[in-house]
Amino acid sequence: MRRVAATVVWLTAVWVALWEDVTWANVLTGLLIAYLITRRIRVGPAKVRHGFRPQAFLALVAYFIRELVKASMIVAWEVITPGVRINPAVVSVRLRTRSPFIATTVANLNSLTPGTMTLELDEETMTLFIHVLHLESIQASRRAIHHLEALVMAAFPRRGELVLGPEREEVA
Amino acid sequence: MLQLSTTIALAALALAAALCIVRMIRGGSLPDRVLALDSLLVIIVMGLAVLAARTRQSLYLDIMVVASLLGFTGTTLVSGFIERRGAR
Amino acid sequence: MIEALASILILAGSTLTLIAAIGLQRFRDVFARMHVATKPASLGMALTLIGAVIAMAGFGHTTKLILVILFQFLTAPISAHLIGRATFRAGTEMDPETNFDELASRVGPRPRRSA
Repeated sequence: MRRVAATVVWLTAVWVALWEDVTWANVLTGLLIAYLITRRIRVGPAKVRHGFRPQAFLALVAYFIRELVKASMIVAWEVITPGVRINPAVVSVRLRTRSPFIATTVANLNSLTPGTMTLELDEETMTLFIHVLHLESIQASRRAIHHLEALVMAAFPRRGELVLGPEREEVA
Repeated sequence: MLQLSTTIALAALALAAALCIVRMIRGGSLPDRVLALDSLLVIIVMGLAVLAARTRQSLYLDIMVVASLLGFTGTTLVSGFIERRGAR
Repeated sequence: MIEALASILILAGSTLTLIAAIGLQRFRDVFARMHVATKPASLGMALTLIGAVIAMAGFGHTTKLILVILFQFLTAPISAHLIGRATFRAGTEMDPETNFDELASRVGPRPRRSA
């Protein structure tokens, strides 16, 4: 019930912002349309409760923006300079979380971080497959993903789940 | 100064759009074309924003909102299509 | 002053996007092209839109621009992820120089390698 109310408020805010005119007509129409939308589309049932830490979330956003800038610079440099120096690889990373929400968030954010791009997420084994453009070492790529995952887990903590866990080494 | 910079920016965007169209026509497989289309829509959104900044009219902003929404929806749908049907 | 800042941002964003489009032509592998088409393009779009917000600052109607910026930040990673996943699952041919680590070659779907 709370989720539906929050969604209605958010949708109405977006509607009024799009019209850029805060009048009664806009607000009421927005509420009506938001209500109709939430009737038709299921507001996802939160099977797993995730907390939300604003500080950690901001740290995650800052990290994401910094990584995006780094990624764009690296790729732009690669495009401009002549010669092809890419060393592509597909690396598998075993995630430490067991929550699909966090895994999906990591998979999404990873698409814009330097050098890696998400290919596949195996939900049963929680394994993330990434495509790396310049492969320095498999361990380095895995460490980057685990760092990102730790930041996401810190931003959306779940009761009973370790935020910092021992890194499981892959036994080839 | 804004006039000059927006002119240069629009020229760069037009060139980028032309390159994307070339990739869409040549492209080795369907994902190439989807990438080119997504980039093209991003360029369209950027071009509209630059135009809005240049002429200081809000007319282009409405189109920009719709274009960005359609771009995302289109990319999502075609990605689902590729998954089901294969990349040819 | 404001115009200069907006101009720099808009130019930077457009240049990045042009580089992304050039990269689309240069790289021969679908997955490399994905790296090139999504990352600089997202950053370029963010820079250009922020420049446009600054340029239109005194003239109102910046709320829509800010909404689009937020929307793009939310959806650009998702669409990049979806394209990558769809291409991988469809078994597109990959650059023959691609290395696979052991787990990926055993578990994940193995794309056909171009000759």
